[in-house]
Formats: sequence, C-alpha cells, structure tokens
Amino acid sequence: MQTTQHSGLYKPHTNPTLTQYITATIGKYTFAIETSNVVDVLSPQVIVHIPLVPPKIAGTLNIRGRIVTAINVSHALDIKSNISIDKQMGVVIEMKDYLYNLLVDNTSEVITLAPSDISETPDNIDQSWKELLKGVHKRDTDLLLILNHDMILAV
Amino acid sequence: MDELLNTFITEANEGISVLDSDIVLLEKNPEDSKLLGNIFRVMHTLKGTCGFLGLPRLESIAHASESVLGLIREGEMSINENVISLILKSIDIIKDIVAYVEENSTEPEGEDSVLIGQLEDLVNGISTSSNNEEEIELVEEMKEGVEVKTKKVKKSTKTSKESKEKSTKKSQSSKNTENKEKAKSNNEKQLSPSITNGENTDYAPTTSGPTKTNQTIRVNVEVLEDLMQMVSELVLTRNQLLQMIRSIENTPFHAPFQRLNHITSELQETVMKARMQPVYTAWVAFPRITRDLSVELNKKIDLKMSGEDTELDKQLLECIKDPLTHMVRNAIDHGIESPEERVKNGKPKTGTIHLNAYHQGGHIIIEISDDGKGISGDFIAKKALEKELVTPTELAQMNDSQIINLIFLPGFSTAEKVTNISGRGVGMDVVKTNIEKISGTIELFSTYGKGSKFLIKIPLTLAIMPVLTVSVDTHVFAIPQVNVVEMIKINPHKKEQTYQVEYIHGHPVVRLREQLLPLIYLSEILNINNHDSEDKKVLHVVICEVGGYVFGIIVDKIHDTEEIVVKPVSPIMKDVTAYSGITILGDGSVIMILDIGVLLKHIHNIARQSTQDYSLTYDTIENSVKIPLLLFTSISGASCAVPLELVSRLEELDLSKIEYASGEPVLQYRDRLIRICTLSDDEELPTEGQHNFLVFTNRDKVLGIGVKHINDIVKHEVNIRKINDNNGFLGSIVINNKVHDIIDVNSYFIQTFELFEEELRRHDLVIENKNVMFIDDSPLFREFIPPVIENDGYNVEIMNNALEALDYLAKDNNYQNISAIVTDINMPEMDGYEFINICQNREEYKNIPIVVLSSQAETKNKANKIIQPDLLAGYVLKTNHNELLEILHDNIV
Repeated sequence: MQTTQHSGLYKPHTNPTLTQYITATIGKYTFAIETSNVVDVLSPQVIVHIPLVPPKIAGTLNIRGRIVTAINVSHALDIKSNISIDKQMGVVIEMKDYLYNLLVDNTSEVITLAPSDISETPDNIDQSWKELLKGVHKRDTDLLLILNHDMILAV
Repeated sequence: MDELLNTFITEANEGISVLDSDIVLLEKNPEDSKLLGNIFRVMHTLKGTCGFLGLPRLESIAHASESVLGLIREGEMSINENVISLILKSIDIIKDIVAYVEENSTEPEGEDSVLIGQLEDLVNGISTSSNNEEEIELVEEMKEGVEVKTKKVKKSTKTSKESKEKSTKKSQSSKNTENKEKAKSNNEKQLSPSITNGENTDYAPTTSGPTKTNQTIRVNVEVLEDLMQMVSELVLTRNQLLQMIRSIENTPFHAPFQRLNHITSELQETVMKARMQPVYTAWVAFPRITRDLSVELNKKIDLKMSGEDTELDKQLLECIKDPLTHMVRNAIDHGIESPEERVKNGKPKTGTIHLNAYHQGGHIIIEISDDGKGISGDFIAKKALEKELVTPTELAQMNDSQIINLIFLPGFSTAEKVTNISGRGVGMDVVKTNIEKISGTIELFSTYGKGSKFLIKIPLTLAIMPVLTVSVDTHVFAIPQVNVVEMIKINPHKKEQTYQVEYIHGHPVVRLREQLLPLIYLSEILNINNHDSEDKKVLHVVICEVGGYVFGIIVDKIHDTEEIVVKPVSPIMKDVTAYSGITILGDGSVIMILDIGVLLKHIHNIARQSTQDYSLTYDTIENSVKIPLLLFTSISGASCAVPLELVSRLEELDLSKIEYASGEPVLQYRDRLIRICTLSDDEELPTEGQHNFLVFTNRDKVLGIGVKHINDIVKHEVNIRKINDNNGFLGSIVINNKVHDIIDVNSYFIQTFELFEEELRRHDLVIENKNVMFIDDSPLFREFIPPVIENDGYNVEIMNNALEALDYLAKDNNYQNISAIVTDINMPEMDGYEFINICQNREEYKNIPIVVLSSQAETKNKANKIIQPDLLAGYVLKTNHNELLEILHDNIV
C-alpha cells in the first residue's frame, strides 16, 4: 500500500492489541513509526533553516497554515542518509499540539504488528541508539527498527 | 451612565431575580443550607457593592437583611413566615431602588427606618410577633406584594418590548408608552403603600425603557477568545491573498477581494471591540484600597484618575490588574510619606497618587505616579549589592536610571520591614514578569524626595502583534515593533554620511545625536555566515530599546512592518532563547520572532549604556564637575584621553637610547630609569628618533607610555561610558564629537611593574585586611585612586559622598574596621571640611587618621586655616599617589 500525500489520521486498527506502523527508510535502515500520532506524509518540502537551533532540527515549514518543525532524523540517529534534506520526505506527527516533520528518505507501507512481533533492542547496540528505539521487528529480508519518536523529540 | 453603575445594575438585577425565587423556595425547605448560603451570598455581595458605589440606602437595607440571614445561617434563628416576609419586603424595596438608580443614576430620596428597625428587632431577638396584628397585615401585604411584583415583572418585560418597538417609530407613541407606564406605576404605588409603611415613596418604580439586562448578553470569554483567534487567522489569510492579488493586474478578483478586505478589517475591529473594556475595570478597587490603607497607615492620600475610559483588551486587563494593585499598594505603603514628614519636607499634607492611561502609537500607556519620597538610587545600589544581585563592577557601569530599575530584579524588596500591605520581596519582579508576559514594558522614573513614576506600556491586543521584518543573508526575522525606536542606514560609499560605525576595542558603536550606542551584528549573534565584506556594505541598523537600554542591531535588509499572530516556539527548541515566538507571514513563509531582551543580554558583556538622560539628582552634580583631560593619539591612531592631573610630565625621548633591563625596555632619564610601554601589545615603537611619551610616576617607579601625538588639553565633564573591563581602558567619552578612550594608568603600572607589585605585597603583609575609606564625588577618581591604594594591599571602602560615608561609619559599628579615611574636599552637599569636623568631634571617630586629597594645591593653605593641621594625617594632591601611600603606611602600620 503506497501512501504518499496522504493526509489525515490513520484509523487505529480494530484490534486494540495490534498497532499500525508506517515504514520508512533512512540510508540502509528501515524504521517503523507508530501511526497513532501521524497526521500527514509529505513529499519533499522547502524547509527554512533556523540559526542557533540544535542540528537535529532541520528547520520549519508551513503546512496549510500550521507551523511544523522539521526533524533531521538521520542526524539524530547519526546515520548517513542517501539524499539531501531538501529531497527527503516527511512523516508529520503531532505531539502536544505541536507538529513535527520527521525527515526520512522514503516511506513505503503501513504494517500491523502485535506486541509479540517486536523483540527487545539487543544489548550490544549503543545506548544512544537504544534510547531512540522501542524494539526490533525481524522480517525475512531485513530488520525493522521501531522508532521511539518521543525520544527523538526529547530535548 | 457610569460603567460601574451599569455593571452593578446588571448584576443586581440578576441577583435579585434569583433571590425572589430562592427565598420562596427556602420557606418551603428551611433546612436547605446550600440555598440559604446562596441567598446570603447574593445579599452580601449586594451590600458590598452598594457600599462601594455610595448607595447608602440600598446598603443599609441589604445590611439589615444580611444580618437576619446570617443568624438563620448560623442556626440561631428559625425560619418562619414573618422572617421570610420581612426579607422579601426588603428585596422588593431593593428592587425598586435599583430600578430608580438605573434610570437616574442616584438613589431615590427617602429612608427605610421602619423596615430596617423590624429587621434589627429580629436580630436583637425581639419578637415582632408581639404585634400580631401588624405581622398578619404585613404578611398579607407581602403576599400581595409578591403578586404585584410578579405581575410587574411580566408587565415590564412587555412594556420594554413595546417601548423598544415604538421607540423605533415615532416619538409621540413612545410618549404614550411613558404615560401608560406612569399610570401603571401609580397603580403599583397605590397597591403597595404599606410596604414602606407610608414612608416617603416619592419615586416611581421604573419600568420604562429596556432594562440593562436586555442590552447585554454574557458570553463566555473562551468563545470570544476562539473568535479572536479565528479572526486573527482570517486577517493573515487576507494578508496572504492581498500579496498575491497585488501581483496580478486586471483580475476579476479585485473587486470582491476589496470587499473581503474591508469586511475582514471591520470584523477584526468589532471582535476586538467586543473584548475591550475600559481600563477603569482594573482600577475599580483602587479608591477603596487607597482609603483603607491610608486609614490603616495614618496617611493622607488623594487618588486621582485620568483616562480611565481608555479601552483595553479584556485579557490584558486581567493580566495587569494584579501588577497594578501591587504598585498602587506600594505607592501607598512606601511611596507616600506620613503627613508629618510631608509637612517637614515642605509638601502638602495630602499625598497624591495619580493613575493615568492613554493611547500612544498603537500602545496603551498606564502611568502610576506619586509625589512621595521617591527612590534613592544609592539605597537601591546598596541593597542590590547586599543581596548580591549585582557585582560592584556591574554597578559601577550603571547610570542612575538603570540602578533604580534594579528593583525589578527577582529577590529585590526595598521594604525595610515587611508589612502586610506590601513588601514580601516577591513584588516588583513579579510585576515585571507579568507585564512582559503580555509583551509590555515597565519603567521606573524616580527623583529622590520628589516622587516616583511607573510607566507601563502594553499592546492594545495580544492576538495580533506589529513587527518589523528584517533579514540577514537569506534569513528573515521579526522584531516586535514595541522594541523598535528608529532605523538608520549607514552607507560607507557616501562621502558625507551622517552615521558611521566606529570601533572601541573591536566592538562596534555608533554615534546617534550625541549618544554612543553599542551595536551588534545580528549575523554574529545568530552565527550566520555573512560572506560580504562588512566594511563596504551598506548597513541597516535597527535601534531597539529594552527596559531603558538602547542599542542597535545591524542587519542586511529592513523589509516591512507586518501584523502577525504570535505562535509559541515548539518545545524542542526551548533551549534557544533568542526567539520569543514564531509566525507565518503573509507570503506563507515561517519566520522567527527575535527576543530583543535576550539579544540585549549578549550585549551586556560588551557594553552597558542607555540614552537615559542624566537629569536625575546625582548626575546633575556630576555634570558640573569638569576635569582637565589630556587628549592624545595613540601609536595605532586611536583617540585617547587621560586626566591631566595624573600625568607627571610630557617628554620627547630619544628612542635610540632604549636599553633593555631583564628583557624589558627602559630609558635613562635624569638619573632615573623610565620603563617604557605602549598602549597595547600590538603597538610598536619605532627604533630611533624622538618620540612622544606621557610620563607617570607611582612611588619610585616611573612609567613612560609612547604616544603618537599630544593633541589638546580640554576641560570636560566626566560622564564616562563604561565599555568593559578590558585592561588599559576605563571607558570612553565623547569630546568634540569624537569618541575618546580613557586610559587606565594604573593598569599599565600593574602590567609593567608586575614583579614590583608582587614584591610590595610581600613586604607589606601587615597592612593587608586594613580598611581604608575613600570618599570622592567624582566617579573618575573613584575609578583611579582606590586601585592605587588597593595595590598597596589595603581594602578600600568607596563612598560617593560624605553623607554616605557618615552613614557607613555609623552603621553596625563599621568605624571600628576603618583604619584610615581618604577624603576629597570639594564635594556637593557636605564638603570635606565639614566631614572632617564631624569626625573630629565624635569620640569614636576621632582616632581614625584622615588624609585630605585635593586636586587644587592652593587649597592646602585654606585647609590648614580651617582645620587644625595637626588633626590631619596629611594633605595630598590627587596626583601624588606616592605621598598618599606613604602617609597611609605611616599612619596605619
């Protein structure tokens, strides 16, 4: 299921124990972002850089009259992205009345996972990374990293 | 009609209508304590408001009824028909009087002693049932009365409808209505004569015209706020459209857009108006507060108000209410003196507090002024130091206005003793924070002995804020208009330019109408790479003001003024303090709003200056002191100045004779060695030829500072503008329209003779921890001489004048810790002679050695004539540091 320029909230799954995730890639990694807070998925936008802000903040943009803060996720995770910020797509999430645009290389599909599908983040991963992940979902071809967006947005 | 009275009538009508039904209910359910509480509260409020508004008749009835209700509430009186009737009766009279007040703005003539008497009798436990007949009669009347009232209410609604309809038609018909009404009221009067027991009923219970309740509806503020928010967004969208449509020619959208534009503006105005209330609503409690407090404090205070009908956004009013109350209380408590004190100081017995509100340039200005004792800058400074809110260095760099405004610092409370009225130490900083929360500013002006004035500047509305948009490189920022004073353009290509950027130790400044303003490059503060060479570029400077400080922000471009809706910055950016908010401009771009206060803090380390005029008490004295200054050009070409008195000689020395002693350059001159130095390390002396030197002596050490030219000697006022603590310079001064750096001679001695100072300290350990008091009214010498004394190992207590010195000596037995006093002679208020006399005549001070310091040699004889010479430890010229130190040494060790 391709979701580009899709707007509005994803409907929560009818089964409350299941959680929906939107998958996105940055560099060689694939991440999963919970859809419950996602309000929009954006094509590449013009992002205005703000002086003095920490580097994980890419800048701001105006989405239909609302101010959105763009987050450079690849910087926050310290991974190399394949494309420059101005060509990155965005997953917009809403937290406490503020909108954040998580910049990713690409978004692909919405998947549904049960808590049992998610394993704990292995211990040998850097602590800084571990904090940003909620766990790992093992897929046949690759590993899906469940992103803890609360932590990414933490100051 | 009076706005306040209007509100009262609306509220009273609401309250009374509830009372009527509630009391009847109460009669049926006497046990319902909640209901009773309700009734009591309404009556109580009514009483309170009436008392406040000066409606004695209403107040006395309400009071009597309240007493009865109070007893019932406390269970000391049971509810019976008699009681209820009496209360209902009083409600009816209240209702009638309120109606009369509504029409005539005053209470009707008459008095209600009988009713009140009956109510009081109830309270006093005298059973009115002894008069059975009367009671029954009353009850009957009451019942009748209630009936009549119900009818009346119905009637009145009807009438008001009628009259409304009719008033739109012809005046004649409305006359008819009036007549009809009169007839009705006459009718009522006949029906209820015994209610007032035949007392003066010389007023007609008014039913004419629509009641106030019909004209206003109460809307939840939230609804208004939502409405305002939406209108703000609409305005922004309109602005956006406006920009788009402007760029298209001959579009059919033009006409409808014009209309949309117009309607939006009107809508915005109307919605704003709906939220507007006269500023008086925030002041309403002040007459009462003033009265009560002045009685409590035995002061006589007249509260004057002007501009009370100036309208202000309701939300803003709420925000300023508490700060204003606090300031009024402060003015009463600390500002106005007691009548005796006032008379003693030649002021009228009655103090005046003046509240004033007016519009000024899109803002509302509220002034609170009093003619009380004012605030002493010295006192504030002392207090701030005591509480360690500022460092002495910071303090030394402040002017009086800045010092007085220190009272806004957190933790500052000047109240000597904490009273229950004000002075819990949370005061003024909370006031300031609250006002700044609504983008307002507060400033304090005070003249010691004359009074104080607070000036509060607040925006008309919070929702929409006018800003100036500027840009650096590709970044656009908004500067709140409230901070912007003016804008100037600096064009280095133009020959005859008005302004130019000058540098003092690498820090840019600009001269603007005789004021020296610090400048900051916005690009520098925000870390934006600015590729263009700054020397050649046309610079735009936005002159901003925050709390009395004025400075300039250098930007690449100044765009436009725009009205914006401020949105909060996302919490993820909360560590970046440079921005106070974020907004979307008309063209859809997102820009940051600069927090000018924070930018100022960046400057604080560089400079502390302001355009505040030096008109307050202390500085006027300063202005009269002119000191001869030697003006010269440094080797690097900078204009510098040094007080002439400090210079021993001007010499032209042969550079080829420079020798080196332990690697340091020295010159032999008249059998002495002169150490040679330059003003800064990057200056270099030529290797040969004659060169100009300023020669200074300190004890046995002689220092020559190489300079390019000696220019002039001028007598000039010494308002130094302190720049920073850079070694070598005290600050700068504007002479003949040119900025001159004042060199700090002492620091060169320390630099050059570093070893010497170290040695000296080692030798004179014995004098460490000895305190020397230094008194001089001239800030320049307060800068120069204490370091000289300190370098010898003493601690120096610096006093600005003799009175301060006496205060200090007397306080906490400080005199015991003072080993010597060094004082100036020519000082305002109390001169050195008088000070010495006082000291000599006081047993406890008499043993402290006093050294007189003066700039005039001839006064030495005079001093000897006035003061017995043997009483003095010494008499020294200000320039002769050597002798001063020797005398101190001899007298202390």
